[in-house]
Amino acid sequence: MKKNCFKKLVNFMLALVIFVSLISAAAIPAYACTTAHWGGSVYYSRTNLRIGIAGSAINSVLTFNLYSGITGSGGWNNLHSPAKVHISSVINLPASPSASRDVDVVGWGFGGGVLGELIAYDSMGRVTLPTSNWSSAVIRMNDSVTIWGSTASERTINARAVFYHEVGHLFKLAHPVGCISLAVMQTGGFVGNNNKSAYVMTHDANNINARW
Amino acid sequence: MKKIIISFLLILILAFAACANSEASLTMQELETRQELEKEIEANIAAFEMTRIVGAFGMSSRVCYFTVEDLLESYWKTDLVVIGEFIEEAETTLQYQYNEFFDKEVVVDAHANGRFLIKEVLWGDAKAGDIVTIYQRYAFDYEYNELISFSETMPMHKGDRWIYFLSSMGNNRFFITGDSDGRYPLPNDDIKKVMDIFSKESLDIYKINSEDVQSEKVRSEYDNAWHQALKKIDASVLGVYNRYDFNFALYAEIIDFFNIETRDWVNPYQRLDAKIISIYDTQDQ
Ligand SMILES: [Zn+2]
Ligand SMILES: [Zn+2]
Repeated sequence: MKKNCFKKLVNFMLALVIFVSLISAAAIPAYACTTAHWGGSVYYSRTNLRIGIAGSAINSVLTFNLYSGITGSGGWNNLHSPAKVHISSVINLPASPSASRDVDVVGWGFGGGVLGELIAYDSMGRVTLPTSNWSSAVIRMNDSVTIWGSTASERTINARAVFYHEVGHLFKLAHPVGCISLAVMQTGGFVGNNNKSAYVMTHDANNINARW
Repeated sequence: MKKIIISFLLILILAFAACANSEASLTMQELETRQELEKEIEANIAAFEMTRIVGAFGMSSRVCYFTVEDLLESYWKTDLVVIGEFIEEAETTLQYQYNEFFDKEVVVDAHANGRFLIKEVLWGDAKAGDIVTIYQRYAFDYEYNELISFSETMPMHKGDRWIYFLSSMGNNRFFITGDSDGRYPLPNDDIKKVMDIFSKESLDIYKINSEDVQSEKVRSEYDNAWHQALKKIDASVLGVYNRYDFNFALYAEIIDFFNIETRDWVNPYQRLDAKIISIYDTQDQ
């Protein structure tokens, strides 16, 4: 990453600390934004989502703790009362291979610069559209350690944001279009790129509210 | 291609409100060229008649690029910027894996490799006449007559000409830097007309700092121009399924930066798939 990118990142992180501390009350400019979510049904209970982390998705950057942190602050839980979405458990599959869960996170060797991805299937087990009814889904994280950034903390911040982002897709959230609000659902791959935030923001919460 | 058009419309009608497209007016000469090309290209892509296109790309995370400098130097560095042409149809392969839930093999990835003849090198270590393999994540499923795409960019067809920003995967194989941020049509009259909608000011501000809240007003201007432009051009001309995956500000900068204005090539893509409509057109509106 270039020096000025790093500078930007530092500035961004400072701004982020403020944002995160204000997350419940933050008045993020709601410029040109309405809603960004997909139709179609989901197959899991969205207030009782169980996420399994496969061994292939765990390495020195993608630690189990990085994933399980999603149930804490900055994640998708406790955005609304009563909860519209709630992750009830994150399961370490190498430790509990037969635990029941709704979605697996697997490591993937992507060709072509992809950091993470949600792949959804219809009832026949065929790859389907974001807007369709889903019968199953898998989250895939790029299993290369080096692509996530140049320092350990950068890697953690970026990988976590991508994981939170893919779970946002699982909740049927789409990428905001024509909108500069900070959001974990912004298209950017890395934190700070195209206003992608490190954590779930008000804009994301608003979209959950609009969708569910 | 009718089948594809029909299924796209079906998907649209099911999921969203349909949107209107206006056909650009053509001179007689343009029309003749277009008809000629249509015949030519129709033969080339007859094998690609699919009943359904599965655009799974809306759920991928990748880096977004806003300037030529970013594209060349940031994140995944660009190794080559080239203008050229596909010399054969791309080979595509679906990757399957056993899935417990469905108790059968399901598609888990899609790979396409196309051989691309470099006509001109704008950046990097290559020369005109070199042939490189370009990789995109899509494939045809002949069992179900589907095109499954994890990439925002449309398939690679023999005879298609593009400006490509490429990152090396080794073995003379490259992926597109930033997917749809890294492949562009050569400017032609249709595209130039659309480019005119954008003011220089809005393009400049947009690419300088998209994070700057101060620039919201100009950004809003840019977005308005963008919406106008998208009513006048089909996403397929731009090589993307989703019109919003095409960054006009960056395109304008690229044309300027590499002096591409003078090339007289056209991208034959628009001659054929002109009516394919984005499946995510009405998102976040
Ligand atoms: Zn928005
Ligand atoms: Zn995404």
